[in-house]
Amino acid sequence: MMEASDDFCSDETMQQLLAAAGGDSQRGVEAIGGVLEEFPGDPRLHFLRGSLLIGLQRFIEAHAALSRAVELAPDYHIARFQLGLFELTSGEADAAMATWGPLKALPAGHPLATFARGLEALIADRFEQCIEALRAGIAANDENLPLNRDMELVIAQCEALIAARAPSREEVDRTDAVSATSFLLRSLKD
Amino acid sequence: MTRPRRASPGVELLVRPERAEASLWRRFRATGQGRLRESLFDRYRRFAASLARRHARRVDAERDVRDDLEQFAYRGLLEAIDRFDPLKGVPFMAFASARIAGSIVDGMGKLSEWGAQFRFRRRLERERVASLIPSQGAENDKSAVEQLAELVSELAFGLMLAAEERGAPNAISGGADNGFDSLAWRETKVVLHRRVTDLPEPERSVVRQHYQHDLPFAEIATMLGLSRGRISQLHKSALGKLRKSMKAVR
Repeated sequence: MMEASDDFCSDETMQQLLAAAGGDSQRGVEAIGGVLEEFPGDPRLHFLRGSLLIGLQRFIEAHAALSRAVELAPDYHIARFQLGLFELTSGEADAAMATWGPLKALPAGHPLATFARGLEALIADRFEQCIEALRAGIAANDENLPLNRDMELVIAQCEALIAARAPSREEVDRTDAVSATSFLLRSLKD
Repeated sequence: MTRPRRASPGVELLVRPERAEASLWRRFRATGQGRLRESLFDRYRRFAASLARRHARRVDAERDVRDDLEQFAYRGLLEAIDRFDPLKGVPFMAFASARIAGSIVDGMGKLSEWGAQFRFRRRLERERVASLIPSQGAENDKSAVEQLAELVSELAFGLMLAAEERGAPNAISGGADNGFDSLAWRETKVVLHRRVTDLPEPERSVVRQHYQHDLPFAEIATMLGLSRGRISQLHKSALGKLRKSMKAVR
């Protein structure tokens, strides 16, 4: 778990920033920028800024901010998980897995490690395993409830994909017919 | 150069296109890797081609000249990719439009209307042949006839790839079509296409960009950050590999 230090802004300042960010992301980013000048080593500020920048579609800056948060506090597990998730949704599956790597050291059953395991199964197209792990992560997660909603959406998408991928009887028959035609033509030629 | 992971259906499920685009720009700006420049080129190639077509309609260009305009548009696109700053908040297509249009107009001004396409095709063919001819002293264990047979075979695969990419299924086969030949031809094309996909990078990119998008070696060199001579070597090596692997499936 991340330890607080003198590099951190006060909890009161953090609450004010969260209130500003809740009303207007742009205003929130500007307010955080001001506090960061005084506390550039506070990973929470970088994490919050990164999250707001994603909402503002400033993805390049968002990645830099989330990366900085993890760099400053390698044990900031939620920031690490979200950075990996952001990389995965940016099409960087390898980077996401590298980012999540240290989460494997968390105790068995830790929700973030379980979510990461589920998403790694998704990257490998092991959809059933993905669903199983994400469900286990949701059951164990009572700290970051919005994350449960995101993971439920992923489960729903996996289930829809599994349903769409099951071939119909007609498709199986058609494949057989094509193979038979190809075989017949080859026989005639030989 | 390692081949990037091809997005699996699982990854595709979660990828957001606008984030993927930003990721490409971020990594390209950070590393300058040719592979990423190529991904950006692929992403915007149709956009550049559409600007070329629009310009062709405006000036009522002949069919041959339209192909030239596409080449000028691609050149402008590559320049725009190298100069674009994604942090300035201007969408790439807005930034690139003026550069692509400028490249088309400049290119048109420098070439005579009819001769341009002819010269362009001749240049592509000359570079292809020059790349494939064995250098003096090389492969001296083979007879001249064997070397010629290999050259012809490699050129034939090049022509086949070009026909494949232009969607002209019978352009090379010639003669009357019958059920088996048509099927055999299609199967050969499928195998050839698969063999191209299996080529290691950057050979795969060289073949794809040269035959699919008609890019001259010089522009592929710019795209991948390599020398023109190196592209020529990669082209020869790729066609040689294709010839050998196709021989194995005969």
